[in-house]
Amino acid sequence: MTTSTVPTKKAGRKQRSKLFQNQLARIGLIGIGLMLLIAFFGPALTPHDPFKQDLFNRLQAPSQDFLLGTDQYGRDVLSRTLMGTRYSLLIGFSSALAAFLIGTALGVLSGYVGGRLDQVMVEVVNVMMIFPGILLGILIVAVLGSSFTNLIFTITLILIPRFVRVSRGIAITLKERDFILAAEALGQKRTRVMAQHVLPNLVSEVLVMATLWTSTAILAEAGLSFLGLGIQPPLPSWGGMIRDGIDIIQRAPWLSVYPGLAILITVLSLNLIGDGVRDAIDPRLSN
Amino acid sequence: MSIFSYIARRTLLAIPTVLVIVTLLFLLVRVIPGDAAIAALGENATEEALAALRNQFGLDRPLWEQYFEYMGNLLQGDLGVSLATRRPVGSLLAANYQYTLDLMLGSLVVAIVMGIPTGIYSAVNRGRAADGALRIVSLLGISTPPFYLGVLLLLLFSVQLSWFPVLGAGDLSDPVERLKYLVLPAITGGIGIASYLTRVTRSAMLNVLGEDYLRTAVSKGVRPHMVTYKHALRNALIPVVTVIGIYVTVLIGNAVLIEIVFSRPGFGRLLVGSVLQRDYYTIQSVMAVFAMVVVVTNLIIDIVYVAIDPRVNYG
Repeated sequence: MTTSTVPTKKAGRKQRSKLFQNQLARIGLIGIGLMLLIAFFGPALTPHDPFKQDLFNRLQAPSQDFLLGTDQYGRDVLSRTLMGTRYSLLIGFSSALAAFLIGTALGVLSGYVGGRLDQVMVEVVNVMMIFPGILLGILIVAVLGSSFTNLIFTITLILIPRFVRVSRGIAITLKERDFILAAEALGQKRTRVMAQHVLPNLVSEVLVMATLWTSTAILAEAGLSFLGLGIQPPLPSWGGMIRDGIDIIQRAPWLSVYPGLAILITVLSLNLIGDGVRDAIDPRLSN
Repeated sequence: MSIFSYIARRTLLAIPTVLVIVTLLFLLVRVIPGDAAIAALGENATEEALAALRNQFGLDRPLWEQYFEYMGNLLQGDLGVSLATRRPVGSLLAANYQYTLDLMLGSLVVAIVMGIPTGIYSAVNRGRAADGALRIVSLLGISTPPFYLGVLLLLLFSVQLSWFPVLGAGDLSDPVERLKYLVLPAITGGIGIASYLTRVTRSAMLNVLGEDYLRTAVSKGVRPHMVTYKHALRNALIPVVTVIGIYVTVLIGNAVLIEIVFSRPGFGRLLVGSVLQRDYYTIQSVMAVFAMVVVVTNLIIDIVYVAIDPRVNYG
């Protein structure tokens, strides 16, 4: 557009905003890295036993002994919040990964093969997307019961339609591209074209969405646990801890505030990464 | 094709979707593990009492018979009887819908009032410090779960400052009280969506601001203010209207969670309570109503979309 070599004011601003974006993504990486470390080393980091009830120390306000206070049963809120990281991230990441694998495969198949299969897939996805994620979750947990594996299954199911939609869309545009047509003209089998040409060309774009949807998965788990339909006590979960604190929020606000902060940090970090990477990959979105 | 036949065709197309949803819900809630009769009467109920209840609700009949009876009743507006409370499901819904509707509309108003102006402001000040700050704020808004935001607002404005009542929904017949109880839940439900709207409005504005016809307007000497707010905004709002349709599902999901935080009566509380009590008919009906709301809103948005954007044809 401009022929001068001196960067215009506008271009300078654009560059600064790019740097800003990178910095945000870096903060996100640090945040999620920290959370992963906590999840991994969880039990070694907790100052108290997260399960041990201590009736003499019920509902203690944050103090030197209990940095984030104690709950109705005298359990240490800090220890339980740290422990909760493990369950939250485990469920969040594994369901996002499962949904990524299944959803992308279905989406590529649907978009590339087309025809009847594609029509059915689109209908199924549309019907599933009519329900808000949390409602779909409530419904599936109601049917299956709330065990750990059921929870992962449920959240995977919530995310699959999104992955199908995105990867199907990209697969359809790729299908018309010359290199795919060339591979087909050379007589390659359709399964091989899909695996060797279609899939590798859409995987990075779908992975970006996977980062963002991992945060959706973590929010879904927290929401279900908050409703009493997710991780069951005495296992600590951030959503469940917030719920436990609500009834006595006027007396002991720390019960709900700190676990919620953990959710916020995790989800925000993932969104920062997702945002940054998306802008880097797709310059059209960076304006 | 005229707009009327377009509307008619879109409406007809929505009917099979609704049928599929109602059927799926019927099937799904009937495979819930645990007998509904036991759930309603308790573990200690006698075998005779259980049999009588199953007979009364038709739970001992073949599934297809139950299905046709259910669909027949549904067409006559009969949603069945709640297994837990023995009240007609229709009356349960009637007693609760206003609270949830208030909350959803309130959240939507908050989202639009907060989201669209900030989006415009961001676009106009693109790349400046304010734009960056708003970007972070909107990311925070998107990343905060509504039930946590509710807790924080409750703590600050109800517990600390005592500006608003702590729990419940107040008396619906008293408009001032109704509004007082609605403010915090509506803000809670609206902020996340406002954050999305900020981003969508911002990028829609930026897209439009680069268009040739705006450059023409500027070179013709139209004042910059007019260019931004009249020429650009009008066209930028088209994509914004369509995404509001998408956020209806978010509004519903938020409402369910927020009702629990603020102990507000409504569909969310009804639904969660029904799941814990395995109250088949109530679960099914609440879900069906929510699905219907989504289908109908999207239908309306589709129609509004073709009505306001002359570039879209009715294909």
